[in-house]
Amino acid sequence: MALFGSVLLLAAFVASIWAVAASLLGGYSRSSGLVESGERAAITTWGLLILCAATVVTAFLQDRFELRFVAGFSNRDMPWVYKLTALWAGQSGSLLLWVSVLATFVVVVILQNQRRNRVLMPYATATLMAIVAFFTVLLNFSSNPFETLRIIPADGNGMNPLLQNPYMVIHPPILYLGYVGMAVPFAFALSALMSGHLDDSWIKITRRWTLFGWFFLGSGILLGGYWAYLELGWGGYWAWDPVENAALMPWITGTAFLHSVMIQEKRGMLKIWNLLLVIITFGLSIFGTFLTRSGVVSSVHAFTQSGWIGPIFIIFLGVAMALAVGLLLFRLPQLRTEHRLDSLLSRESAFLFNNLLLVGSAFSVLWGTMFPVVTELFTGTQITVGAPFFNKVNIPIALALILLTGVGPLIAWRRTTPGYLLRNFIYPGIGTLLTATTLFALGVTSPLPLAAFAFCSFVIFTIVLEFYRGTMARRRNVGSGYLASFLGLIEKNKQRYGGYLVHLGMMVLFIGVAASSAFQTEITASVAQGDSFELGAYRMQYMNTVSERTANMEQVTTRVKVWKGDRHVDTLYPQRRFYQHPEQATTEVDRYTPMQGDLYLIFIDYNPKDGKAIFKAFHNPLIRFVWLGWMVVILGTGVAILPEGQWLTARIRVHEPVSGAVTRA
Amino acid sequence: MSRNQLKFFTGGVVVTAAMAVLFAVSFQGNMAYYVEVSDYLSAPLDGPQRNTRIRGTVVHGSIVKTPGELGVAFQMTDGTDTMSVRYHKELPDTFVNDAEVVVEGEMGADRVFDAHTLLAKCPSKYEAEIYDQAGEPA
Repeated sequence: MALFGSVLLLAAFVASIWAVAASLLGGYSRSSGLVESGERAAITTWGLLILCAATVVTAFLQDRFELRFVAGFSNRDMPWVYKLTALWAGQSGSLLLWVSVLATFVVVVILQNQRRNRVLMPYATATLMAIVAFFTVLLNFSSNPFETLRIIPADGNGMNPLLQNPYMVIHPPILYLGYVGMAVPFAFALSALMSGHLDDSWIKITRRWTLFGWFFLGSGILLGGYWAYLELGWGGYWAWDPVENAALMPWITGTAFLHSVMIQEKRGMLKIWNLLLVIITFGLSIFGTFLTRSGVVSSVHAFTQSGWIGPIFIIFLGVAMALAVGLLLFRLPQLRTEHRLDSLLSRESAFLFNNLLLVGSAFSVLWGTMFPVVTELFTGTQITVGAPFFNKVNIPIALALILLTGVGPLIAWRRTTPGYLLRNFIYPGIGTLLTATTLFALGVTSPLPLAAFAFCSFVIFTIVLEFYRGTMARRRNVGSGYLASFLGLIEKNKQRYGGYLVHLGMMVLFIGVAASSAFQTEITASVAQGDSFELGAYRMQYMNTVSERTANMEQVTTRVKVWKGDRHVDTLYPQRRFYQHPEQATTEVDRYTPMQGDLYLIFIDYNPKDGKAIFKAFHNPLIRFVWLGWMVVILGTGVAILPEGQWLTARIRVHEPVSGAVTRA
Repeated sequence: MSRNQLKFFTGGVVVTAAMAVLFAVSFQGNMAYYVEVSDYLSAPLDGPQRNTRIRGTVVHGSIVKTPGELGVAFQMTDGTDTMSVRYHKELPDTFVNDAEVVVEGEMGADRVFDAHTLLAKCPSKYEAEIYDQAGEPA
């Protein structure tokens, strides 16, 4: 089996090299035969890689401990679900997953473009397959999943219990869909540069791919945060850890890119900037992949390290970036802007400021994350910056961005008069003022959270107003009912209204973030059975402890009644588990989760001598808004990514027109 | 450059400058040296602003914990030197024998390090020691 797999891997490497060569040559010499050969080689590579991945998964399911990879992360007793997904539990398997996802995307791109974009395709295929080739080099010569052990162990090591968890299982694949998704816009950007076709066709082709990559990157980040919140028991979901930042950076620049391409599509501006931004985003994607597994920066997610994989990644990144920027410089004379900025008070201007702020934010995260490496290079000692730095810089930037999110969609292209702005913002402005004063009166006096809530409410008001005005206008023009008009409105302009929904979701998320960070309360208490401790409006009464033993683990579960006044609202069962092989203790938190905030209960320790238990409780106001906000983002992204076409509207009967209105065909 | 472009350019400069100031100010108060145990012990870094983060591994068998009480005492090492540590809050799940830890705090007068922050690393996802049947590393 190991031999079979190794041969497949080598074949994949060879096929990918041919795919690059044939595509490049075919594109340059306009030989459709070569181009097709390149595409066939790409599809072959995909097939070989999928077979490799299937072989590894089979090896896990069959307990093939002669493979070092299987022995390292599985054992006979492990549930089959985790054996199935152990492919990405370790370095070589996760690299195989990464490249398999990329190869799959290449096949999709090829199938999507069989009859179009024939000038751009060869170069895009070549770029994508060059990345595939790099990963097959890593897999074949540095991190081979089919490496065998001289002495076959009777049983494997097993997977750490902290990782045997559904969220931990789906978190890497989702992140990879995001990281890898960013390769496609990058490939088409390079393709535009190589072919000289510098209009915005490369942007139009890749709009959905960018949305796709952005969406999965963001979802992977959220999922990671949610998992940390549920499983790690420190009451939070984001720590500005290097590995977290690694995924955040391309997401931030990806957000900037999603917005700035709209300027190029509408006004033919920012051509150079868009190319640069997509190159940077992909670069950060690769950088993120590298950061997570190289051990170069110290992190609590210690995915270290196999000697020279770090340097190899950096060299690849350097070469890729140099080539890309070189191509950009080569084509610079041909990248002329079609229009100039007309007014400071315009949508272009708002988007430009949006980009500036987002790139500034990404830069601050990059700098803060890499600072220890830089200082060690120059002074010999590592200096780190902690979470407070990242928060201090990014909170004001986020506030400014939120404001822009409200202003941007309502401002016109080219120029807007102050009078127009005033008319558009008068209602949301009043609403915001009322919200802010109410919150202040209710006790929210701290400036930063108050500003956050006020700005978010401003955006929400503007979005609601947009939907309302649009629905009403459509109702007048088409004569359909309220719901039909609403749905028809969205369907007619999915990009715009999907975007509004995404913004809405992000505002809800930001409200959740602001509330749960600024107003979090906590208490640590040592209580005897029957006694209580209080946090805010809640009283927690410790009832008893139950101990259970299984083959590998001891489980100690406490029972705690939650009271609000004299109402018993919930019973929580926080527990501690103690595993033997490998030696590991885990905390299983329990929560009471009404919408106004989570009551998060941790069972820390138990003193057998006096029967007292130590608990720690957090109250995280509005934290559910964080998860719910992203749900709305999912909805909005789904709408925005749908193809053109109005099936819904075609099927909805047009009702009797509203009296006085004229029905138009 | 047209007047409008100049306006935008000025606006851009103002925003960038504001971010730069924000950046610099936030940086100042939040730096911490990140050193090995032996580095810290051999050259205690002075300066009241300077916080230090020290990394090392928990010496096997050195964890002293009273059940039912918060806090722990243990020793950490980088292979060259060893340091005793006190920590008074709840422990992360990943804090076990031989775990890689990072502590932040101050050296006490009794040569025991008073940590106010303790981080223990996640189990390494990409590194797995293969043990043969006798329990020795392969």
